[in-house]
Amino acid sequence: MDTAFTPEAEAELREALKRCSPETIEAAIRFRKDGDKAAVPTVIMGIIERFMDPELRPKLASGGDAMSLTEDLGIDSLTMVEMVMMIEETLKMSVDNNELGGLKTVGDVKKFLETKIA
Amino acid sequence: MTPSEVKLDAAQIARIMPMQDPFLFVQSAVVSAQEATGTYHISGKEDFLRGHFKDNPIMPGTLMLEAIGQLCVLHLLLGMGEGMARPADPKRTGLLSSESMRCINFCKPGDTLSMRIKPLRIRHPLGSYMGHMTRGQDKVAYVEELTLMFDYLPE
Repeated sequence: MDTAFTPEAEAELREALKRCSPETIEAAIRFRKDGDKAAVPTVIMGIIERFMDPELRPKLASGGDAMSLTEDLGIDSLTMVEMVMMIEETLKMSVDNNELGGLKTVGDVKKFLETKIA
Repeated sequence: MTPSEVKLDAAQIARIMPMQDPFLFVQSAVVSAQEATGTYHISGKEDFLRGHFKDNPIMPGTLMLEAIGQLCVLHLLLGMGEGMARPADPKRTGLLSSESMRCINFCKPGDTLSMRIKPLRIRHPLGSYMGHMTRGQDKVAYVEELTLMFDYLPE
């Protein structure tokens, strides 16, 4: 549980995630306020969706964890860094750029981050 | 000792920046780790004003965003921001994304645009900034988050 999760921190989080879906924002607040790890996959998927080409977003909703970030979802290495920076800020964790190279699928990202916060 | 603030005139800026006349929209600048300010005077001689718009020259909003972005590029090229290991390479620095840009007032020949940018976070290979543009006391435009991609100059 994040003891420093003040109303100001919640307002900052809502501002940072304002282009994510309402479900993503609420899941992020549940994680930060109550330490609810079950909310993490929703946060990750919501942040991936936010950085995707809007035309490709339906693919993310309909596909599974095996989808390739690059080939199926059009996420290049720079977008990946943007995405991970937002995930770091949201979940209050840190990821080294060198750790991103092995993440090829949606499932890889979820598993990697769930292990990080376990 | 590294100076905490660098003041640059048009000639110095042109020596540093990859953008050049007629596509350089920063003519003076003061740059520190925490922010940069800059100006651009709309002379009325800019070629694009002949067509934007017919008999009604107005600085394009997209070029206001470009000007703010160029000041962010200058900030990266000087390598002064927190999180910068060394200056960025002018040949490998460019715009990646912008969020919520808004134009508030028209700007015309004779106006001097003042820009102010602040880094939100810089982490190689990305630098994100917020930027504002004013004309005198009037707000002209802002962008909530403008992200540049960059690589460092070779060591």
